[in-house]
Amino acid sequence: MTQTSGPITGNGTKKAGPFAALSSPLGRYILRRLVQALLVMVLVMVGSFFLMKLAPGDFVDVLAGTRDLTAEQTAELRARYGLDQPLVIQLVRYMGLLATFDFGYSPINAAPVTDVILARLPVTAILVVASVSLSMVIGTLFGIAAARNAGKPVDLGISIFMLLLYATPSFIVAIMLILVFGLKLGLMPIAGYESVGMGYTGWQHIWDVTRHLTLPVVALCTFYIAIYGRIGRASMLEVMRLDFVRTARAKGISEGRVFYVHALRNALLPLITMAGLQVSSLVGGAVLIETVFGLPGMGRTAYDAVLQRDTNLLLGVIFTSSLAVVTVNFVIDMLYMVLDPRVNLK
Amino acid sequence: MSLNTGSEPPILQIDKLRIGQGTKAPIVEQMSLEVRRGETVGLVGESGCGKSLTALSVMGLLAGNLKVVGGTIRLGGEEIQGLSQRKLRRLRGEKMGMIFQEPLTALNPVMTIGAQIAEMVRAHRDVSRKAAHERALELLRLVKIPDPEERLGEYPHQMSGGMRQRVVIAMAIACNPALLIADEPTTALDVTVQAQILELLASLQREENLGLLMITHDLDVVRLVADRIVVMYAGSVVEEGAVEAVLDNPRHPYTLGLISARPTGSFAAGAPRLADIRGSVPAPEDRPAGCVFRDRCPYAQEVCATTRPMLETGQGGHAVRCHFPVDRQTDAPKELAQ
Ligand SMILES: Nc1ncnc2c1ncn2[C@@H]1O[C@H](COP(=O)(O)OP(=O)(O)O)[C@@H](O)[C@H]1O
Ligand SMILES: [Mg+2]
Repeated sequence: MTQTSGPITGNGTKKAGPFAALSSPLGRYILRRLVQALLVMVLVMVGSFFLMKLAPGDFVDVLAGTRDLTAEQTAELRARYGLDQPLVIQLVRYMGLLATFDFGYSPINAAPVTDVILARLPVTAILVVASVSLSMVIGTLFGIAAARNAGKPVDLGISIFMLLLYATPSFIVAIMLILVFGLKLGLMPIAGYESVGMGYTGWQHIWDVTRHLTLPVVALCTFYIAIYGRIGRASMLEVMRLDFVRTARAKGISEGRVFYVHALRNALLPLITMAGLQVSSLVGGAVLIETVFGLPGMGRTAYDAVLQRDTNLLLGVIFTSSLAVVTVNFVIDMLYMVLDPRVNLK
Repeated sequence: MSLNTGSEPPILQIDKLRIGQGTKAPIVEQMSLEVRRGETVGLVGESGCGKSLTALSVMGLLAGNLKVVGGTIRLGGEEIQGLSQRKLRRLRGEKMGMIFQEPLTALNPVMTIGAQIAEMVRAHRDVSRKAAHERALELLRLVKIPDPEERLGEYPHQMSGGMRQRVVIAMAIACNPALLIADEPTTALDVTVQAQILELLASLQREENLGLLMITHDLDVVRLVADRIVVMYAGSVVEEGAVEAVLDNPRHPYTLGLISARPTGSFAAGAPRLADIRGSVPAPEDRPAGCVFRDRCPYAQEVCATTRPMLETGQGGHAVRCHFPVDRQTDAPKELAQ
């Protein structure tokens, strides 16, 4: 982005070197946002650590419930994982490890938390990225078509369709998709992330994963298509009433240009905000769909970790999800800045 | 001031315009006015009289719920109603331009000034990007914006209201229209900026030989820039004529009221004064039968309630729509004088 003309620093001489970026409002703004993001991460992690400790029982209790453990054995287990230390010590140690992206060991998976998460992150990442982009594009197109034809039958048809999508819970969509495309037509795989034992590589692997994730992505999309469609329509209609649209028309430019160049870019802002919310809610919230389709994603991982009191794993999942959400929000702020020059850098 | 002979058709000729809103009472009716090339016409009247709607109907930009349901609008002699959207679009910009009241919201906030002006040029002229950019620069100079090169890359929010209004003016005249409609172009601006914008409009009007329709509720503005004045009340013309004739010798009680309601009082010493006009402009559906002004008129008689007066043209094209026009030289009613 080009910056406002004129001297940027008060004294007129620009500082060179690695801190040159800090002398521009944009550089300072980005730095400030990064610091904020870091702060959010720390708060989330401290908060969830204490929440975790508030819940009665630890994974040793869970273990003790399923097999016979002597008092010595449980004490030894607790000592090995540092669970016998005072809370504050545990917290400080934990935060220190987090800073190096070391989440410790996941007892229920018998593997380092980092390995577990790295193995499961791709599934969720694909689900989230694919469903956010797909629902945003399709929903926005519906919204635009509805606004363009406001009050006409096309608008009414789209409204009814959106209402239908809006009112159908995603797990019902998932079950219907499985019934129709998986079982009845036999077109799509209905469970898992890839075909087991086929040993696909390269493009074959990508195609295999795509086929497995298509139905889950569609199931995650439908509700949000309705949301984007409704917000998009309302936003377009609102922008079309603004004064500058009248000015644009008075210039004698084509109605298409008024709509797609002048109005659309202004109307996109609320949709981008919505995308941020959608990412945040999907990162951990896809658990239902992951369960229905038997996908080893982050939602499932978190769910299992909670049930089995695997605190390390759960905190690792929370950390990763928060990092994703904070990052996405940062990207969205940057996008806002590109789309809306009025965004105040202060 | 007009450079034209009477033979050329007026650049704008509105005749018996009627703007309706579904089945409700028409908002504007019996609205007629003319603007010739090289002439400035001041259109005045209280807020809600229908000035903006009249202007918007000329531009073909009425809101979706409103419609021209009668009368004619001719641009350079050509009737514009019934023209295809495509043709009307060509006229907007090439034959007529419009400036709006609110400079702060009149520009697209996410497009640079340069892009907004260049877009206008390229919509009407088959020129390269570079040539459109050059023209934009030239226009910013024409409307006297300082540092025009830098301004081209700026966004509207980086400019003051006065500067933004200059940009809107630059866009409106980008393709050399013959008619410029300015709808209260200075109402939203500071007093000092108002004077500058008025001066700019007046000089552009002279230099480009524009027909300028200046909508305002400020009679001082009219006196300053206009050649003729059209006074509008509740959707139609009540008085029109040369500025001096109408302002120095108002014949309609409404015009008289407008003049004496000015904070600075009457223009001419000795002109009859009228206490501030009572009440406010009635909504279209509440307009009384007969003369629409009679509810607020101190001289209303029985006939005013039954018969709608015609717009009668007198000496020197001074026209008035009143059964009992005021005439201060001869028979100013006594109760007028304070
Ligand atoms: N889109 C609209 N729909 C219905 N009524 C309108 C609309 N726009 C304006 N009006 C009404 O028409 C009348 C004239 O409005 P307008 O031309 O804006 O007045 P002016 O510019 O003289 O102040 C007002 O009573 C106003 O409320
Ligand atoms: Mg108005």
